[in-house]
Formats: sequence, C-alpha cells, structure tokens
Amino acid sequence: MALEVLSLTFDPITLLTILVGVTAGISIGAMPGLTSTMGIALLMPLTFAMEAHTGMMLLIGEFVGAIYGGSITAILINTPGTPSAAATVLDGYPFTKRGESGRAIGISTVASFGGGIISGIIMILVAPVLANIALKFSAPETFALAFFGISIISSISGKSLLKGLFSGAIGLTLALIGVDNITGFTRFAFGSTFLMGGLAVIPVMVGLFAMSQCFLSIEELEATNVITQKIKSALPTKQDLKTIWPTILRGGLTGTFIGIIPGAGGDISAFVSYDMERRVSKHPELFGTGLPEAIAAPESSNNGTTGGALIPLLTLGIPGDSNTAVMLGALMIHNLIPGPMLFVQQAAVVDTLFIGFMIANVFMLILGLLGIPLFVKIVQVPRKILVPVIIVLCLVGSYAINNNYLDVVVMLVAGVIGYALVKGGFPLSPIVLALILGPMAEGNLRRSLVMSKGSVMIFFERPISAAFIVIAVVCLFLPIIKRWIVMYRNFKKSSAA
Amino acid sequence: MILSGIIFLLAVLLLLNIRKESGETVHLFSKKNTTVFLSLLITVLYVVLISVVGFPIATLLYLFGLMMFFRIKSWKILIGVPVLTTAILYGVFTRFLFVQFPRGILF
Repeated sequence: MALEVLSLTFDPITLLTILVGVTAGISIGAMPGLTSTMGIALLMPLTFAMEAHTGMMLLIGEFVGAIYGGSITAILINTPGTPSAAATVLDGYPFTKRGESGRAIGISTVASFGGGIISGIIMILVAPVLANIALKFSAPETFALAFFGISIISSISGKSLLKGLFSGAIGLTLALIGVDNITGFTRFAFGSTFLMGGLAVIPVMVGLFAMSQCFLSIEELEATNVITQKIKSALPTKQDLKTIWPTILRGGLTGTFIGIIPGAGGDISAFVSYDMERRVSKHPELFGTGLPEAIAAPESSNNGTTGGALIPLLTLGIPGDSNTAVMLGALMIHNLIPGPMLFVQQAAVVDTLFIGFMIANVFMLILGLLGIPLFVKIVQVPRKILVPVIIVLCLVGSYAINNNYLDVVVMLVAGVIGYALVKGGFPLSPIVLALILGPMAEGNLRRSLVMSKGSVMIFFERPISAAFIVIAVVCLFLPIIKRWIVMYRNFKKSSAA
Repeated sequence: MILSGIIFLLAVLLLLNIRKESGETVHLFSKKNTTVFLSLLITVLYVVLISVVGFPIATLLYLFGLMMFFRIKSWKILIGVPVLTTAILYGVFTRFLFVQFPRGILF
C-alpha cells in the first residue's frame, strides 16, 4: 500500500503534471481578470485523458498556484490577481513603492508555502477521521448535509442574503432538469431529448466561471498590466523570516478552519487574518504602510484555505468553495465519487492526493522564489489577445466533455446568464453548488422518506441530521435576527433620548 | 414535482423581493457594454460557423476577427496567434484526447 502510493506520486509524469499545474496556476492567478476557478474549469478537459490521480493533481496544483499567484500582481501593480489577494494589496503595494517588491514577493511566497503546508498537515490528520464518522451516515444525514451545504453557501457567499438565496434557487431549478431518477418522470425537458439527460454540470460551470469572466474582461479591454520595477531577488532575509513565522502559523490555521466552512473561501479568510494580525500586533498603526507580517497574514491564510476546502470535498463530497465545486465535477468524471467510501475503496488515490498536495506546495515555493521574472512576463500579455484565446478554450473544453455540440450552446447561455448575474451582484458559487448538491439532496430526501414511511420527523429524530438542519436554519436567519437587534437598539436609544 | 413547484415559487418570490429592496438599476445596456454584446454576437456566429465549415477554419477566422474587432494593429499577432492557437488546440485534442471535432457540412 505504502509502496503503491509512493510509486503513484513519484512517477515522473505525475510530478511533471503537478509542476505544469502549479505553473499554470501561478500565471492564471497572477493575471487580474482570470480567477483560479476559471483555470480549473479550463484545465479540466485536459485531465480526461489522464489517469484519475494524475488529472486531479493537475487541478490541485492549479488551485494551490493560483491562490498564491494573485499576490504577485497585488504587490507589483496594486491590483489583486484573484479576489483572495485583495487583502495583500494593502501592505504589498507600499513595498513596491519603496522599491522593495522582491522582498515583498519573497515574504508572500514563504507565507503561502507555510499556510499551504499547515493546511496540508491538518487535512492529512483530520480527513480520515471525518471520513470515518461520515461512513455511518445514511440517507437522512446525507440529505441534511446537502441541505446544510446549499443553505450555508447561499447565506455566506453574497453581500445580500436574498441574492445568495436566489442564486441557490436557480441552481436547484437547473438541477431538476431531466428525467426524475426514481419515478422516471421528465421534468423541464420541453420535449428535447438533450435536456432529458439533465444539464451537464461542466459546460454550465465553464460558462458561469470562465465565459462570464471573459465578458467582464472585455469591458475593460484597455487595462494593461505594465510592470516597470525590476525584481532582483525574491529570497527573504533571515530577519524577515523571524518576524513572520508566528504570523504564518496563525494565518495558516485560521485559513484552514475557514476553508473547511462551505461558502467561505480565501477572500474572506485573508481579511480575517489581516484583521487578526493587526489586533495582536504591537504597532497596529503601521499596518497599511508595508509591514512584512501584514503580507504574511493574508497570504498564509488564503493558501491555508486550499487544504481546508479539500477536507469536506474528499470526506463528505461537499465542496467548500467554487474551486472545489469544479473539482468535484472532475472527480465524478473520473469515477471517483467523493465521500467516505473514497477512503475505503480508493485509499491509495486519496493518499496520493495528500502527498501530491504537499509536493504542489513545494513546487510553488521554488517557482515563486526563482521564477518571478517569467510570471512578470506572462502577466503583461494584453487582454485583447488573451480574451479571444480563452473564449476558444471555453468552447473546446465544454465540447470535449461529451463530444456534444449542444453543450457548447449550454456553455454560451450559462456565460451570458453568469455575466448578467455578476453585474446584478448575485454570487455564482451557490448556483454551482446547488446544481451539484441538488440531486444528492433530492435522492436522499426521497430515500429517507421511504425509510420513515413518509414522516418528516426522521430528519429530527437522528441527532446528526437534526444538528445540520438546525445550524443551516440558524445561518439563514442570522442576518435577519441581527438586523432586528440593531433596530431594537436604535429604537431604545431614540426613545431614551 | 412538488419540489419543483416550491422552488419555482421561491425563485419568483425572491425576484419580487429583490425588485423591492434595491433601488438602483443595473445597466445591462450601456455604452461600455456594446463591445461586450458585439463580442457575444461574434462568438455566436463562431459557434454557428463551426457547424458549417468545421472547427479549425472557424477558429482561425474567429480569433482573427475578434482581435481585429479589438483593434489590434500588429499583423504578426493577428496571424500568429490564431494559427498557433488552432494548431496547438487541434493537435492536443485530436491526438491526445481523441476528441472528434465537428467537420462541418461543407467537407
């Protein structure tokens, strides 16, 4: 078993794939306008010809690289390459203004590496335990879990609770398309045989995350990323390492924990860690002027979410964010159904993914410290050239999955809808999550109702499912209750005055 | 079936609520967006074109056309990028991934 894992991981092709994934990830992450989710969606068609573990390593490498890559442009041109790097801008850009961009990138690289490794260790320790617990889940628990996943992502991911819920409802509705699994009744097919099979998840995801992003980039075609400063060395000094290591420890742990929560990803955790660091700091007034620990905090934290987000994906089949949602689609194509059974039936593959995750982080460290000049060149490719090429990639990718021309149409429609929704301030990840978790929720709801002969009480009689449902409902109502409390306080104040 | 009804109702309800809540309107049709809509139109044309002339030719034309539309002046880029992209994509997908691209009705 151990030998099998080692031979799977240290296979030259697998190592090369991880390297390609990390390099692609850093480039995609560094480019403002290209997100890591988009990168995963675009790289996915390439994994079909690979073995399952190799293909997944490509995607995990991309994920790890992209979350780090965002910091490069955050530091150099004051624009975060990915939303996760938004907090890095605050203290990263002041370094560049002082002419110390190399030092800032070095700190960010080491911090990202530290955060990634911490989250990897936690993943390796926690995931098998969690999978063991999840093995005892039956239909009611699984339904409660899916319900929990959909509702929590709807309530957390957007700025407005209603908009998040609306996105979630769209996703659920899309999930209904096709033939009903249990009764064979056709829903929302409008007489089309293509729709009877249900919507293919991947073209929808490519459209929502990649195509819509292209449209958004077309709006700002003229934006160029000109980097003038020459970067000499990105190797951090001993002094800097000494100041940032406690920060990395805190950031990595916070990031991992936030990553585990469905719906909360790198962008949230980075700000949480930045804020936390300011509170424990001896000189909080200097934050925003370019402090080493103020770069290390968000960067270790956002890379901490990578391992964190993989934990619920692998053990429960519930993706923690949009990146892992797309990965879930890839896993399913490779016939690896995430969930507790994966740890029993495909233990070698799971272990390979764990080790591969660590290797991806090591590659990221090496590439980040030595390869910055290369990434600086890539970032400067103008959008006018990049966008047309990416649109073609979207098309080819969604076609290649089933060799079906209609999937391209689905992708294009999803792209236009995604663009309109982003413009209206609706979050996209609830749609995808509901689309994936919808069938899981529905099937298990039906099965549990059969088990209980139609009584809904089955969900509340079992402690685990009851707990999930209660947490989900509390999360949904929390913003409303909060508003009431604020209103009540204001009322009290005004009546007292 | 009951589920679908509930979800549909929920969606409509939320839509109404959102209308009430947000006072600001989102401009889907502004000057900035004409470029986006025209690009979308070109892309739709491209998808149609694939089924007529096949993937390689349509991709060459599309990349060339869209970059022209984006006002790229350099002929090196206008010719080089479409040729390289099409060649690499076609090679990778047909050789390694065994994808059969639509050949189009003309050939």
